[in-house]
Parts: sequence; structure tokens; C-alpha cells
Amino acid sequence: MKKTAPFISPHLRKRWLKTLLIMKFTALLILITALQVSAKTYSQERISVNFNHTNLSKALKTIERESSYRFVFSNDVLSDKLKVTIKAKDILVKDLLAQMLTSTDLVYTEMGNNLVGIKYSDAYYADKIIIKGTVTDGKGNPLPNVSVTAGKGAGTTTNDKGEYTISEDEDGSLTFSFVGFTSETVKVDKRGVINVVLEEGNNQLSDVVVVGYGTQKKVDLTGSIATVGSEKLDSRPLVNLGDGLEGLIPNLNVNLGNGQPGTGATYNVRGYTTINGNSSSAPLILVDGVQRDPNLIDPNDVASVTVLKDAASAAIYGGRAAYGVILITTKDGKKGKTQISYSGNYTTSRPTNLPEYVNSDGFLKLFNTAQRTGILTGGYTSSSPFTDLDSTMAAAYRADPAHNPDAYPDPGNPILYRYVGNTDWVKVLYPGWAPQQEHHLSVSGGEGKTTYSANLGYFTQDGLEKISKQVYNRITPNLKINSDIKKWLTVNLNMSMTHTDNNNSSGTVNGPGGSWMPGDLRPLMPVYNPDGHFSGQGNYSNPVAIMTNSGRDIDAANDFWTTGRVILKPVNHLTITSDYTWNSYTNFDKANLIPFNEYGVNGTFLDVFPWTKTSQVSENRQNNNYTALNAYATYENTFNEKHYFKALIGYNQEYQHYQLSNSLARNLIDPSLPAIGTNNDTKPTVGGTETESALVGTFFRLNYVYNRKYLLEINGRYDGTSRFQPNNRYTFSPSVSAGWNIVEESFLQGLKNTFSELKIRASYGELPNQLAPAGTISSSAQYPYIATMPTGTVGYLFNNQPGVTVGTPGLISPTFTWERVQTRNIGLDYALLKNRLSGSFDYFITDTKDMVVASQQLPAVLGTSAPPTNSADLRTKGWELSATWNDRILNNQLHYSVTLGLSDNSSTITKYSGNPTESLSDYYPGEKLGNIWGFTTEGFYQTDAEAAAVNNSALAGYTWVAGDLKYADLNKDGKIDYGTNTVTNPGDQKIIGNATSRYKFGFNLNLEYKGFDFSAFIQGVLKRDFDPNGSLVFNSFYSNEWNLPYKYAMDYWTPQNPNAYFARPRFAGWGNEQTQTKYMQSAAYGRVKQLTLGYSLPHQLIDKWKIQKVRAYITGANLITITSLFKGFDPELVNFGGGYTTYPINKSVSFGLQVTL
Amino acid sequence: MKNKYIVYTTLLTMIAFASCKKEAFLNRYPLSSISPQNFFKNETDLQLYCNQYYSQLPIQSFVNADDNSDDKAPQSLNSFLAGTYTIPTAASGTAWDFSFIRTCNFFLANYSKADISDSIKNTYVGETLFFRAMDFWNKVKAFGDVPYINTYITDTSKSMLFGTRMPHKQVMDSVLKDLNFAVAHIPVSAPDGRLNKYDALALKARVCLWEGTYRKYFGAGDETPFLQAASDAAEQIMNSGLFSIYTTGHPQSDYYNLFIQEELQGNPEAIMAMRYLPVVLTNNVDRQLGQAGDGYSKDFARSFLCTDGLPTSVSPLYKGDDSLDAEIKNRDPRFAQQIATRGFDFLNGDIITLPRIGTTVTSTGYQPIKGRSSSFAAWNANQSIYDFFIFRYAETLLIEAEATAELGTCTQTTLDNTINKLRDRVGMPHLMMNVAVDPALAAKFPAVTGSFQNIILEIRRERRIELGSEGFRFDDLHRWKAGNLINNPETILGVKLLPSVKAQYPPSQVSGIVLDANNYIRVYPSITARSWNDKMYLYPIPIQEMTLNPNLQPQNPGWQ
Repeated sequence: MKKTAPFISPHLRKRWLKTLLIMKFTALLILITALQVSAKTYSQERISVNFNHTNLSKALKTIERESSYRFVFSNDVLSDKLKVTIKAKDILVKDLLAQMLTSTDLVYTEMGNNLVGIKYSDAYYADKIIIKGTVTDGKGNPLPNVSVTAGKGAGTTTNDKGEYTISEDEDGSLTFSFVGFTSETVKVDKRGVINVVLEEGNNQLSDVVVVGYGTQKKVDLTGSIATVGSEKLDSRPLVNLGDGLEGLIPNLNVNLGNGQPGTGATYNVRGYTTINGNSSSAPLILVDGVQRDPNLIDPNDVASVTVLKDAASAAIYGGRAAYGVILITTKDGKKGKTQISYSGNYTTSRPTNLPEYVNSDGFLKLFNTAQRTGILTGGYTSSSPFTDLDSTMAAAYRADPAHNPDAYPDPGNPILYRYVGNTDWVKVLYPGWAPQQEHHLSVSGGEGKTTYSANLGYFTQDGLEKISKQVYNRITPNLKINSDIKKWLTVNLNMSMTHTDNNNSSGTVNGPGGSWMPGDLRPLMPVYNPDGHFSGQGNYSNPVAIMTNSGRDIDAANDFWTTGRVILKPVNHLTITSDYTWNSYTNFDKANLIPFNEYGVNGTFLDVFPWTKTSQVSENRQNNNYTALNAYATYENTFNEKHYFKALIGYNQEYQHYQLSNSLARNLIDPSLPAIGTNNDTKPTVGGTETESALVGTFFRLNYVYNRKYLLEINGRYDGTSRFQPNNRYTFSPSVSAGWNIVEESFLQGLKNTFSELKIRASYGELPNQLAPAGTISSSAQYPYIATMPTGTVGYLFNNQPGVTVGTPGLISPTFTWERVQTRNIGLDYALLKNRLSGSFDYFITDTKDMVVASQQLPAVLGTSAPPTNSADLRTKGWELSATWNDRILNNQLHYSVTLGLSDNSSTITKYSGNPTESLSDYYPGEKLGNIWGFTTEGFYQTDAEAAAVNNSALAGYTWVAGDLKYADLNKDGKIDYGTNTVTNPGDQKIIGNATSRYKFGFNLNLEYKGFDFSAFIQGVLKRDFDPNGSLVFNSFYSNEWNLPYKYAMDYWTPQNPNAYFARPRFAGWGNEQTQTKYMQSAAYGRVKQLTLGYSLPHQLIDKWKIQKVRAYITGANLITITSLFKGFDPELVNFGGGYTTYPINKSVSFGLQVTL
Repeated sequence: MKNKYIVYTTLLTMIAFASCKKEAFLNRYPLSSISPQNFFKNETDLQLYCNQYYSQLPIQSFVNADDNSDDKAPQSLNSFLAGTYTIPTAASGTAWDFSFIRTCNFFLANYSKADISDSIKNTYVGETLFFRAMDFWNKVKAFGDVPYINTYITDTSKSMLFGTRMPHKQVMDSVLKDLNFAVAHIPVSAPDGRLNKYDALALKARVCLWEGTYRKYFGAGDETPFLQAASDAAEQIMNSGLFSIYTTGHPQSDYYNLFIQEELQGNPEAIMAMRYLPVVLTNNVDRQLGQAGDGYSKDFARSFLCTDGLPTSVSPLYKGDDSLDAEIKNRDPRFAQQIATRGFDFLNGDIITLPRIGTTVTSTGYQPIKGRSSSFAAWNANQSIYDFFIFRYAETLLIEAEATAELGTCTQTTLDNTINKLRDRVGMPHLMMNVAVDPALAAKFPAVTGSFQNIILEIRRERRIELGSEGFRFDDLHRWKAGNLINNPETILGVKLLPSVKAQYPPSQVSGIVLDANNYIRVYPSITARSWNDKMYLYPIPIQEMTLNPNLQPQNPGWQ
């Protein structure tokens, strides 16, 4: 049995292993002796046993039960393979043990106190030999960083010269794997030197993809499915998962919301395929098989993300999957030695785009010009215009702030200041960079039957608005345990929790909507009055005063998930899985307002700041309980080697119970103590909502593959929902898809070297949609077919209290039911040139039928809106393309890969009966979604006479003069108007753009070279129009005199500046604020979402410390943006109209470290 | 292996169980919302439903009131009178919104389910009809002929949805019917805050005077029943003996003080009041009034009589208007009680000396102070608890005087019981039946003729003065067909600013003020007069409504 290890003394190695083992023993010993201090000694104990092919571990347990002996062993010692067969009566335990272990590598040692240790014999270790060798590619070039793993999971990697050294059983095997090459497993066969040549090409054929209720070989897929692995997410810091997925999968549209801490992303697959206001195009998002909010998942825990895009692949999920499915799988433990990894990063961020407002000079110029125009033309004039004195004082302060006041007493009201300062509020509120940190610790492994993975993530982010001292925290512990209890029984438990808390200043300024600057914050107002008190005087909201003085808004949520799963394999080829999930989401939001005083001239007490008065505490509690039961059986077999067959049948049921209660108490006894109980409120407010919803579904799937060439899949699901009335509650959704692996055909064998994959796919499916996206909890969303009467109070006193009232119900159609989404998809998957080039292409047409919308447009005399019915159709067409090129150059030292994803979709209304007059303010048949109707600009009127000659009265009733915008009289009727604002009579409007994002692209570059890695990710939209009409960035005084102009607004028309960009300033100058060609913006952009440079310490170095991986990296996010969009906007935020009402998106720089033990 | 079968059996049972109870599992009903099927069961239900109407009550809160008339020239030119109003696209936000009508009709379709006596039911039907009548009256004022929807309709009620407009007079006849029902069934004494019979009578008097005079001056005919109904309703209120003109015997301050009362409940002049209480319900009106940039017009200021009961054009007591100090000499005490003059405490001891022109306080220099106090507590934003009138007895008296004068039944007794009660409070001489025709007023209202011309003209003057800033003026001009008054250049002029007065101001404060040839402040330097167009008596119907329902054609005159 003994072998001589050629390179390292086997004794040296043996000793080392023994030391480790002893250390483990000692630890266990201490534990067990601590538990059994009082055990007595019965060294001559005898017992009777009857073991028949019994697992050794079970046998030992039996002995423990029957005797006072206790055994100490490590799990890897007792594998399932060891069986014992002994029948004995009154045998000495010592003898019994000796008999049991004779045919094994194990020995026992008595350790006193009736403890018996079981371990490998010294001879066992002697079987291991040290193996050395070199790994090269086909051309003989050495391959560095190839991972070499031995049977037990121990592993190493090759050095720069392609060399490795590892120990393994003399009859064991080694596996060599390397990205871009086919993995190779080699029997040791008692050899001391093993040189390996790896072939290029990925093992894609054996790749397995997560699909609904199971997995499938990628090569057998017939639906449109895209997947991303953790390697795309692990290497950089991510605020949330959406941050990491944006742009990675063509036609998976991620909307990141805005940059405010705690803001979640929203998802969409293949465009906006419904116009139903009560629905949404949100896909079904499942995390490990249950519906969860992806924003509450730590991206570090994600193992893979799969997107089921077409109806055929999503059909198994039925009524909630009409708009695609995103399957997120979290990481499992792997058998082998315990792996501990840490990753962490520190990030500092700053808005991509900070608004630049006018200074006091610009503000007064614009304001006074607008005021003069208003007076001159009968337009809006200010109710509180500036006086000459204001201008003089402001100019003096601007010129010499040290010697001039920024406020002076108001002659109309001498206790109040008039402000004449020059404050850059953006600088005051957003002075610097905000930090953010992320830490993630993971312990995983498994020995014997059980594997586990335990993770703890922590994320903290500070708000950009310094004074608010906002801190957002997320803590995500989770645990996954999988145990193969029997050959036919596997049990797993998955527990996960997310805790988030968001501590922000309360008050009306930066409310939860993300509004981040008061809209009327003029540069004239200083932060402080001359006497040192905060400025504001009750007329203006001074954000610094509010955030400093008022209370806090603390929002904390706990999301707790437990899934228990039992997997049975009663006979070969059959698997029965059932799982039950329980989720409790609780949210507690507590906000308090602390009143503070405001002061006027020389500190005269004016008022308590009105908007945070009276002192109050509000509490908002949510409790959302959700349970889901899934049970499904899968039969999988291959007959005659050519007929692969797989069948799935299952049942799904879900139930959600939501409760919300809110309370508000005013007049706190101690306003600085935010406790709801300590109030002096005669009538505190309480409110609440409680709703339920339920869903059941029965589903099946059949897969058939003939000879790896012809693929067929049929799906069906029968769904029932609580959201519709009993008569219209059930629906069946079928789908079918087929594929042809052309490359398997004999006539293409000649091309087999070129093509490793070539597959054509086609699918058709119909999915129902049950309305109400996940997370909607209102009564109207959960019981849309039942009219309810709202309750509230009325601002009128009955018996000295505001009256409580019950309102009028809306109109409800008794008949509406599921809307149906039909998708046709054809696709192509390819991999060629030894897998250097791979990717796929899909074209799809989605018809959304019977969308529930207002059935008809009815005259206002009805007094409410028309009831929604199944009455509109929409067609979305689109395609998506992905291509990846990866290769190695420079003697395999440099590995690079480039991935390009490109996608497009656009939607057209095909049926809409609710708008017989084809009014432009509603949908109409034939309408392309996103169309922008507007006027055609012909420049400015250069003289008053020119303006007077045109009848513009339908647009704005004031007198139009030089410097106002001139629109083309498209219908030659002598006046500029909207006509009847219908398709047939749009007046002088026409379609001047489309707001849909077209040709979205994502571009990934990855480089690896000698421990260095670099990745770049660029994402963008190639075509999109944006109408800035209505944006406060674009119009200096859009709706009234209180709006705050941006710096750009200074380029306005004057007789001296006739070629200005903007028209003459007006307050609420509706005429110039029309949607029009002149101001149509291209919102196309390309943004470098991230650049990452990492370095991993070489294995030669870290192996010595028994560390598997050490990587440090630096990442920059959103650093560069290329767009022709007007400067004040961020192309990713144009949905929100831009401006100070939206919290900006951040650009950031991070430093990170990843260590795996 | 036994375990295996136990597990299988359990699992199969679970699945079977789960799939059997589907229907029960899927039947889910609202847990926290009220369904109409379970409502309208008892009096409380009816009351709770009717409570929502009360947010529609017309509150005389002064802020920007009468800016759309000849009484005021606010800082910003009123867009409707400037002719810059554009035809709205949709009905929401305009008077063409029928959602409140639907609210009323829904009640009428359901209230009878309640298991209570008819008289209690009729109380709430009365409330409903009171509010529905008011809403239709408002629609008629805005649009003239309107669709009269008096039943609960749904999306299938095509003939109602796409019906024609009912003629103005016919709608108002129905409105009167509803008001009569309300008067008949709403109890004399109602629970705290709820409508009582006198509230219903007050609305009836107001609506009927409007409609009666409208019919008369627009030549629509059949005005007498409405004028008579107005007078009858007013007399019922007067004869109840419950109400009187508030006075403490201080003619120089009673009128002003009436509008800064923290509690109007129990005030003899309050037929119905909008009440506020600390913390529970407060308003921001006092502060708004202090910053409104509003101002009465020169024309309004000129219309105050002198203390001898004569107009300024003839009274020897008139001292001219070279300064505001001179202008208030020997004038109706209500002048100084609704316009800020020297000595008025603007806020907590900030005494006004000169009109605060050139600031955000007033546009014309005639700064309105009705409802405006110098109290710091009331100035605090959103903390004022000053109550407002919904129905003020003074208006009832004015209605009685005008209706009887128009009917030709007005006597000296009528005047003594109405106009002269108002004059008594402020110490003005009584209006006598033989008062001379004021030529200035006669020129303004050429349609007023006949033997009661002098009385009607003086009643109109009295109404303008007494109800200043209470929001009645445009409706009055409408029903008198007197829109032409808007053309009067004096309606957009402010105080006279002689160089000697101007010199008393810091130059920078008044440097931007534009004056006309007579040194009156021109509030809108770009125009010398506003221009009335008869189309402004009515608003246009929203474009979308005209398109959806061609039966609404034609659009109101002048807006096509």
C-alpha cells in the first residue's frame, strides 16, 4: 500500500495533516467533555447489535444509545459509503469497534472518560501522493491561473508558467478548468507528473439554466431565456441588484429611480405592453422560487439571474407572468471544505448633474423682465414684484458682500426683512461627496450529507443632502441548509431576512417623494437673517432651518422569508418537490415634527414655522403576510438514447394578507420627545387598511428532444384569482415552443469545427394578466370588481369636530376579467469559432388583448370616470441581439471578452374604443405609444406687428409680442390652435417625436492579465426624444412667479439678442411653453456605468497562507456620459422631468477588497 | 422504507386538500372598506354621507374676493376680465364638473333603504337638494343652459349622457323646487353645525333674487315669482326674530369687528357660520389678506356716501381725495372699516401712516382690511380661528330691500327694516323713499328706470358697500346685466398720489409707480381701461365636452 512520494517527503505531509486533524479533535473534545462532565466509566461494557449493511455513522449512533460510549469524529471521516454488517451478542464495545473498522482506513483511540475518537489510520495518508505538472493550450503555450481541483475539493491554480503542484489519492482524479477552455478531468493513476493540454471552447453544451420550477440544459431551451451569473455582479460595488443588472440583458429594462438612498429599481421586460392604469408591465420576480422584492436582496448573495422573456418560457407561471419573469437564484453551499469569504467596499458619491441656478443678478433680471412683459401684454404679473430698492441693495451686496446687508426691513411691513442676498443654495445643501459602505461575509461548505451557506451583508449609505444627515442601512443575514437525508429524500431550508432602516430629517422639504430642493428657493434669500436667526420668515421654506430644527423620519422594515422544501425521488427518473414559503414583511415608519420659531427684523419673534407646526408624531405600521405553496413532480428519462422526455405537473397556491395602520397625534407634551403616547391631542387620527388576495394555479410542462436535434416544449397553466368575480375568475394559458439544433444534423458535420452551437427557436404562448402588480395593497387594487365607498373627514365642524364622511363609490363594470398577452417569438442561438463568438437573436411580437381600460369616454355629466372593461388591444414588436467575443492573446496571458447587447421595442394601440373622437388627450387606435404632439417652431416674432398679425389666442390669451415664439400655421386656417385636439383635427400640432427609448445597448469589456482584471460597462439608448415642456429646468417661470430659473435661462430673447435660445421671459408664459420642435431634445445617451480595475494576489503567494483569493479593486460609476441632451437634465432621469424635484443620480468612486479563505 | 410512504401520503393529502378548497380560498372580500350594499341602513349612515356636502358651502373668506369685478384692481390683472381666458380642454377644474351632482343623486337613489321615519329621511333629502340646487345654480351662472341631471345615472344612461342642455329658466325652476323642498323639510333647529330651515331660506333668498333680477334685466320674463320668492324667504328669516344686525353701539368699529370674530356661533348676524377652533380646524386667511397685494378700485372708494347721506359728487362735506387722509373725512364709517387708513394697526403695533403702495401689501393704496386684524395670533400661518359667514343676516336684509323694490312693493317701512338697520350700525342717515336719483349711479345703470329707480340705485350702492370683499359683485353685475361697468377706467385706478404725498415716501419705494394725468395710480400701466365683452357673462363649455356630445351645441355666444 505504501507509495513513495517523489518530491515532498510524505512524512512531512502526513504530519501536517495529522496536526490539523488533532486540532479538530481537540475542539470537539472540549465541547463534548463540557457537555458530559459527569459521565461514568464502564470500560468493560457489553452490548448486543445486529447491523445489516448499516451506515457506519448510524451504527455508531446505535452504540452510543445502547452504551455509555461517546464517539468523536469529523464528518468527512464517515462517508455514506461505509457500511457495516455485524451480528453479535453481549460483545465488548472495544471488540465491536475493532470488528467494525477492520475493512476501513479508520482506527479508533480511547480518549478516556468513555470518549472514543475515530480517525483515519496513518496508512490512509500514505495513499496520497504529490502530483506536479504543466498545463498548456493546443499550441503549447503555458496556461496560467488554470484551476486544478482534487477529488475532495482541495485545489490550486497554475502559475505563470502553467505549473502546478497538488496532492491527491494515487487512484483519484484531477480536474482542470479555465474560462474559455473545455474542462478536463484526468485520472491520477499513480502518476507523479501529469501534463495537460486544454482545448479551447466553453462547456456551454452542458450549461444548465434555471427555468420555471426546475432547470434545463441550455442547449435544450426553446424559449427566449437570458441568464447572467454572479461573476457579472460580484466584481463591483452595487447599491442594489438593479444597479448590477442594468444593461446586462438585452430588453431587460431597469429603471433605477433616482439616487436617493433607499430608492429601489423597477424592472420591465420587452417594453411597456399594457396601458391599463391599474396594471403595470412589471415582470414577476421570483427569488429562489418565491415572489420577492429584488431591492431587498443583497447583490452579493445572488448566484444567477434568469429572465424568461417570451410567453412560452413564462407560461408555467401563468397569471402573474404576462410581462416576463425574472428568476433570481441565491448562492448555495457546496460540498467540500468550509469556505469563508469577505468582500467589502467603500464608495464616495456625488450627483452626476447638479442644477445651476441663476444668481441674484440673473434672478432679478429675469423676474423684472417677465414682470414688464406681463404688464405690457396683459399676461401674468407678479403679486409681489421687486422694487428698485431691492435691485439696488442686491447689486450692492453682490458687489461687496462684506460691507452690504443681504436683507433690509420691508417698508410695507417693517418687522419683516426683504432679502437681497446672493446664496448658491446648491452649494449650501450639497457641499460634497457622500460616503457609502458595503460589507459581506459568507461562510459555506458541507461535509457528508449536508451543505450550508450562511451570509451576512451590510450596506450603509449617507444622503447627499448633508444637513438632513440621512443614513440608509441594509442588513441581510441569510442561511441555506440542504441535507440529503436519504437517497430518496432531500430537505432544504432557506431562511433570509432583510432589515432596512432609513433615518432622514422630516418636514415637507425632502419628503419621501424625493423632492430635494424647495421649488421657490430664491438666491436672494440668505441662509441666516442679519441678526443670526434662520431666514425664511414663514414665507419661504428654508431647508437648512427645517432640517436642522425639525424632527426625524425613521423608516424601518423587516422582511423575513422562510422556505422549507422537500424533494423526493421515490423511483428513478421521478422527482417530487414541494415547498412552502412563509414571509412576513413589517414596516414601521415614525416621523415627528418639532415646531421652531421664526424671527423677523432684529430678532422680532414672528411665528412658529407653519409647515412643521403643530408638533406631531405619526406612526405608520405595515404588516404583510404572504404564504406560497408549490408542489410539482418531474419525470425525466431518455429512451433508446434518442428520445429525451421530461414531464412536469404541479400546483401553486399563494395568499397575501396585508394590514396597514397609521396614527397621528398632534400637540406633543414635549415636542422634542417623539413619542406618540405623550400628546395633548383631543382627537388623534387613526386609519387603516386591510386586504387579502389569493391565487391558485395548476400547471404542466412537457419537453421532448429527439436525438438532440429537434426540441419541443408544451406548457399549460390553469389559474384562478381572487381579484375577479367568481364567474370570470379562471383562465387557461397554453404555450408551445420548438427548437432545431441544426449543428447536430449530419449534413452540417463538416461545419462542426466552426459551429459549436446553432439553434433556431420558435414559440407561441398566451398568458393571462390578473391586474394589480405585486405590492399593491389598496382595496381598489385587490377587489377591483367591488365598488367601495371611501371614508374621510370634511373641513367643517359638527359638534366642534371635523365631520366624518362616507363618499360616493365609483362605477365598476361587473364583467371584466383577465387581460391576455400573446407572444410570438423566433430566435437563434449561435456559438462558433470554438466558442469565441457566441450569442443569440430574438424577434418577437406581443399582442396584449382585452386590456382593462375605461371602456368609453363619456361626457362629464356622468360625474365620474367610465368603468373599466376589457376593451383595448396593444401590439408590441421588438428584437434583441447579443454577441460575445472572447479570446486569449499574448501567450494566453491576456484573456479578454467583449459583449454587446442591443434591443428594441415599440408599441402601437390596435384597438381602443374609449376614444371615439380620437382626442389627443387619450389613447386612440393606431397610436404609437410615446408619440409627442407639438407645434412647429418658426423662430421668434421679431416685431410686435408680426406677432399681432397672428391669432394665437387659443394658446395664450395675452398679447403676443416680439420675442414670443412663432409657430407654423400648418393647417393654414389663419390661427394657431389645437383644433379640436383630435387626430383628425389637431389644429397646428403634429407628431414631432417619440419618447420611447429605442435601440438600448449595453457594452461590456473584460480583461484579465496576470492577476489584473479590468472591466468596463457602457450602457445607453440610441434614440429617444424628450419634450422638456413642463420642466422647470427649461422654463424660467413655468407656472408662476415662484419658480426658480436655471442659469441657462439667461439666454433669452431681447431686441439686442434676437437669436437667443429662449423666448422673452414671462410668468406662466403658456404660449412659449408649448411642446414644439425648437425645444425637442434628443435623450439618446451613452454612459460609462462603471470602470473597474482589480488585482488578485498570485496563488503562489497566498496559498502559503491557505487563502484562496485576495482581490482589491477600484471602481468608478457613472463617471462619463455622452449625450446631446440639454445640460440641466440627466438622461436617466428625464422621465421625472429633471430639475430640483428629483433626487439626482450619483457618480461614484469605490475601493473594494475581496478575500476568500 | 416505511418513512417514505408516510411522507408521500402526507404530501398527497396536503395537495389534495389544497386543491379542493379553491373556491373558498379565492373568495376574498374587502376587509376595511365600506360597500354600498351595507350602507344607508340608518340615520347615522345618511348623516355621514351628507356630511361630505358641507365642504361645498360658500364661505365668504375675502381672499381675492371680487377681484373679478369693478370693486378691485389686484396686483395681477384678472385674466378673465382681461379677455385672456382660453377655452379649457377638459371639464375637470371647471364648473362643468358634475361629480358633486352625482354625489347628490347617488344619495337620492339609495337613501330610501334606511329603516327610519320619512320625516328623518326627508331632512337628509332636504340637505341633498339644498346642495344640489346650489350646484346647479352655480352651473347656470357659469354656462346658462346646462344638462339637468337629476337622477343617478351610469355609463349606460345614454339619453342622459348625450342629452341636450336644458334652458336656463327651466333649470332654475327645478332649482327653486329643490329649494322649496329643503325649506319645507329641513328642521328649524338642527344638530350643531347642520343646516337648518333658515339656512335653506337664506340660500333660497339669494338664488331667487339672482334669478329674478336676471330674468328682468335680460328680458327673460317670469321674474315676479322669483322676486316674490326671494322676498318671502327673506321675510321668513326676518320674522323669525332670531337674527339681528350685530352692534355694540360703536359705529366706528362694530362693522370692522364683526369680521374678526373668533366665534360667530351665537352672533345674531350669523344665520350660518363657518367656524374654526384652535388645532381642530384653522385657516390662513388673516395672513393671506396681509400679503395679498390686493386693492379696492378708485371707483369703489368713490361710491361711499358722505355722512350726510349724499354722494361725493354733491355733498358739501366731501373733502376731495388729494390724500387718503382727506378722502375719508366725513365719509360712511364703513370706508375706514374696510380700507386701511392712517392709524390702522397693520400688525401688532405697526401703525399705518401712508398707504403701503410700492410694496406687496396693496396694489391701489386702498388696502382691504375686512377680516384682517392686527393680532399676531391670527397672523401666524394657518393658525387663525376667525370665523367666516356663510349666510349673513345683512345680506338677507339687502335681498328683501332689493326684491321688494324690484317688485314695486318697497315702502319706507321696508327700508327702515332693512337698509336703515345697516345704516344704523354705522351711524349713517336713513335712506328715504324720496331720495334723489344720483346721476352718477343712474348713468351706470341705465336699465334701472321707473318710479323705484332712485331706491333701486341706492339699494345697489348699499349692497356694494355693505358686502364689499364678500364675493357677490360679479354675480350682481351679471344679473343686472351691468358688465359694462368694467369699462370704467376708474375701476383700475388707485389712490391719488400727489407729488407732495409721494415725497413722504422713500423715493425707491414709489419710483416704480405709474400715475395718470390726475395723479391717480395706474395699477396696470399698459392699459387705461378694461374692455367688457358680453360673452363674459358666460363661460365657454370645455372643448372635449362639445366634441363628445354634439347635442350641447351651440357653444356659448362669443366663444365659438
